[in-house]
Amino acid sequence: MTSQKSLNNTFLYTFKKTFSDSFIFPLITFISMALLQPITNIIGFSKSKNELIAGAIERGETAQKITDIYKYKFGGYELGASSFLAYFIVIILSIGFAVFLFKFIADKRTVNVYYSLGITRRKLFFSKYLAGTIMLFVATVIPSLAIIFVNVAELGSSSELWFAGLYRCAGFFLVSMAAFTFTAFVFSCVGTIAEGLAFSTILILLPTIVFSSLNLFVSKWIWGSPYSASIIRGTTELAKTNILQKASAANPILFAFYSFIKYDSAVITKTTENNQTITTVYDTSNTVWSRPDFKPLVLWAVIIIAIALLTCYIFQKRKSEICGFRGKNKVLNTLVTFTIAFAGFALAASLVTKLSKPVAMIIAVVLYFIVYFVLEAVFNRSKKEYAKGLIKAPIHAAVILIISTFVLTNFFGLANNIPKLENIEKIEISTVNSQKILGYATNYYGSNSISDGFVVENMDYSNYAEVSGNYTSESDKQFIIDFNKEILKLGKKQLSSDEKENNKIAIIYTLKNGKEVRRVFNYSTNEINQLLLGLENTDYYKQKITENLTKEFKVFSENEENELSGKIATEEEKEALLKQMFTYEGGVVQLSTVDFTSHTNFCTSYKMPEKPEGSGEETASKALNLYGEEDFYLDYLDTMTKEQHTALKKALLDDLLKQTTDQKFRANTQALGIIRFIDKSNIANLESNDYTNSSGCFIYITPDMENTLKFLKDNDMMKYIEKEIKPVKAYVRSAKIDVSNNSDYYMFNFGFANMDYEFTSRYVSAEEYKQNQERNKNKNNYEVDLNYLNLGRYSEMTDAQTVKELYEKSNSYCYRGKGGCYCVFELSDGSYISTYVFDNNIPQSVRAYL
Amino acid sequence: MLQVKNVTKKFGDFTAIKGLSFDVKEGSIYGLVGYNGAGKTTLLKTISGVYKADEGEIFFDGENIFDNEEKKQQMFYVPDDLYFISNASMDKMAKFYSGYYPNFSFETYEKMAEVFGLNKTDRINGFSKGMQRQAELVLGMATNPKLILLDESFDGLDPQKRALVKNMVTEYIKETGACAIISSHNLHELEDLCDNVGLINGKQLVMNCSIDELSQNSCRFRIYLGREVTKEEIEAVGIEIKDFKKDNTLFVFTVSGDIEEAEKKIKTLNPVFLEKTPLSLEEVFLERMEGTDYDFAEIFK
Repeated sequence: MTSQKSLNNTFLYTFKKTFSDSFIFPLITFISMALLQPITNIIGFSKSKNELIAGAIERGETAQKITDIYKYKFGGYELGASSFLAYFIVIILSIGFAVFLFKFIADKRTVNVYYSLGITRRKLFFSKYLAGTIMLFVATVIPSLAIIFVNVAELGSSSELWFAGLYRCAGFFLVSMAAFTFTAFVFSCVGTIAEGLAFSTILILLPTIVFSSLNLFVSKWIWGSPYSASIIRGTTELAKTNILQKASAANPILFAFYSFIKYDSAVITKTTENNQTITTVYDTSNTVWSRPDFKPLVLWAVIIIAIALLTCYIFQKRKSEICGFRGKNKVLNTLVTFTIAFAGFALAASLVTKLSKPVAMIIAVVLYFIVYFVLEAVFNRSKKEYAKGLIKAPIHAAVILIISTFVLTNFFGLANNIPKLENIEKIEISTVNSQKILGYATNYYGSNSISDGFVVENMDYSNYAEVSGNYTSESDKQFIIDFNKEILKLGKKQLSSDEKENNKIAIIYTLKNGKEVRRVFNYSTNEINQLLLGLENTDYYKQKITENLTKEFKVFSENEENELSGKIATEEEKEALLKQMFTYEGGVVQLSTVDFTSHTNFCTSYKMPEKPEGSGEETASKALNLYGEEDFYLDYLDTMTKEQHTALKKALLDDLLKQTTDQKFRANTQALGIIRFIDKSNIANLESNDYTNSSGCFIYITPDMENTLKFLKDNDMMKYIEKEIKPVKAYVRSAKIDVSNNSDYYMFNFGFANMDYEFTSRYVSAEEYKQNQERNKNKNNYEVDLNYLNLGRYSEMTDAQTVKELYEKSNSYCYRGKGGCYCVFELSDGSYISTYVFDNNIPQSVRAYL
Repeated sequence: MLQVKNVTKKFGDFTAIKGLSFDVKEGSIYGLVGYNGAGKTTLLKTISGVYKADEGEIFFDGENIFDNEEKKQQMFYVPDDLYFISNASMDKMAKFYSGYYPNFSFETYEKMAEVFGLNKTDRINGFSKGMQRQAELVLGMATNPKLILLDESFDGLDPQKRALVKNMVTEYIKETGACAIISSHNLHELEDLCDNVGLINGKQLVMNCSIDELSQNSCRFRIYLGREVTKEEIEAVGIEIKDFKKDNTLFVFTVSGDIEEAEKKIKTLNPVFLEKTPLSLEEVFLERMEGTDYDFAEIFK
């Protein structure tokens, strides 16, 4: 063999060799990206198209084109899932790739060879780094570009596609480079491969750990912090207020993440025949598509370049004698120690919130220092070094003290800052009662319940706070500001678990400059909740009930109008349709006795539906799918003229506008009857006494409602609500919720009329009670039917005078106070009704039984 | 050719070598001796660029050697703790080194591998320790280095291979005018191989001279005075003696420095018999390290 001239360009040689020796990681990245992106995307398109065709065949319609639905779609069938997976696979593989390329500098034997080779350290680093960069570029960008072309082929080209697609290409590449560069940086600083791997992971996760810990800490310790619970507006969960997400631009792994999810697809929503809106699904809600913000990507490109240059400098100056020794980089040691110890501190602080703040803080600080001392022992091999390392302890203590001071003083009051009245545009707030007349449900999302069949006690274990309303008048805003000041005082009190109410209260201030200030309070007290009932005296509430009780009658509901839009062009067609279907103008008005044993339904006009004659013939209503599969045949409707209907609503409105919160929620007497409005979509619930959203709006008629009572008398309608009720026996029990004692009755469902603080009577007929007793005779308490009625925990009262007195002081509807008692009355006909008695109304003779 | 100037290397608070200075001339083989942990490997790693000197500089052909690509390409370091790319054969390693050493000669490589009887296509990690060392030496010599740094490279070699390596290095230096620094504990071997020697003790270079100077500067005297004398009485003539022993009626001791002058002073004691013999490298090493002996009899008593 003759002498072979060797390559004299060491940079190029190392560059090429890096390609040939380490292509496996980028190759796996490329394959993963290809599988999760273009291939999943193609499968997703195919599946979506098949579904559209199958759906259209089933409905007998022409299949909708996918181009009418999506502007672009990057994910597979499950939107977002493949992007999510691809994102984190890229990060993990990029870390692995960097470990593979740079582990040689953390090994004693390899560093002997590489640092003595005929190449400068700078060239050695850059040749490997550049080769890695190019390989990662190919592995991430080509599959991302491919997905753009798949979209062009399926949906056509659009500016939305190209902007989102290029953002995706750049994002994937930069995220992989961030992971790659951080790992290379760490390896150039540490002495062992294990340390390199651990520190790289921790350093990359550092902002995530610190921000999550801070989020945890702040959410538990800052009273009113918006980070403690998700907020729901209507049926939509708002974009999370979360320190981690807010600070995502400063996070090497999350700087593009939320945008990736946001720009995973663009959906076309037709507003009119010729107009359409492009939206993205973000945080479970649709938002109008706008161009992605490339600024974080540019910023991170600059940061990555800066870190690469810094790494090269460290690589050149590296003291290779640290190879094989752990804990040699004091800066990284301190960072890692702080990160882990702070996570422990935040976790401890968040778990011991039931203790007083100073005790909890001491526990958290002790945990911090336990972690600190352990990690110092890991990083320092000798006792001498360990002792030397402990010099940093006061610095750590100072940092923790500063953070704790910030948090415990609520950022020196800044976190509790209430915007000035003149700067507020509008306010949204949680309610503590159902405000049924406005169509809202109370804040009991995701709650569990304890039930004995007569009383259902809902305990809110959910992590959601629900907001509603649009309070804009000066007095409304002032009311909420004052309320906010009151609830802030709770943060300074040490409340017992008996005093705490588990409902969450959120307030969203929208400022005139467009910014939002959010406050979430994780618990409340009965006194605070009672204060919040004052929302029903606000201008906003009054305006809303005025609108609701004065709005014009509609033949079709809003949904029906939308259904019919485009299908019925002329008035004649509409008339023809009306002849075939039954209608209730303005819905149904129901008058009921307070125990619901007797109720009468009224509507202003109605038509009975035509029965389908013979097979294959369908009514227009069925063809239009307005009422589902079943037609309704209601033969017990009475008529009420439009004028009567209008007058009744007017009388109610006048009464409701005058009513005080005491009259509404703390009446201390039995209601006289119930008036209920049921809209067209809920006509199937005319029989239901279930006080939930789906069964219309209950209004209890109380003695102070002069106008309403006058209307009923003038129109001879008092008979519909009056009933001679004779309670023969009373059963009482304390209203204090005690979960441990009620474990036998712990159930995960509810459906009864009562709600925890907002109490509504439940009526059980004699027949129903008998059936339940029979059905559940041989079952244990875990198997009982939800309607099982159990009076075992009640004390029986038979004295006629006591029963009478209790009944008179009972409330069918009220906002429960602290204490008090539940009563179940057995009526003369064998039926039962549950009520609530405020604490100050409980007769002395009854107290002994509670 | 190689100038080590006042080099100090610290590992944190620990100083491994301090203020070392010496030159290695063209065509010279420099032997580096010292106790285990004296700093020989540290010095070699500092010269090779694995470590950066904390103080002082190292020049090779007049240029600072640290991270100097051109100079590093003219130098090959064979560490004590060898590393080969995983699953690599000698051919693969040859290709690897050829990328960093422009003077790499595949012809030399082929021939030397044949001389040592090494299979170039077998996995090196499957070789015995001695074979791995031979393989690394073959690869290193194929780079045609102007400076060879060998750290305990004779360890694990059988006597025949040891002779072969010594011969190879000697011939290479002679033919090319390159230079080498060899650290070893085998002082006999170094004595035969090196023309200069440096002894590191107490972090410092306590001796730096040619082998010839070594024999001229250190001698063992055997004298018969016909009477009893003490070490102090002999030293009273103005010489510093070491390793003083009494062998029946003979007094045996070593003297360093100007041997002629020392002989003249000893003769003033009127010895009946005087004999002087130059010290071997090992004897010099032990003599210089005097004072660190331990009385094991006392320990195991």
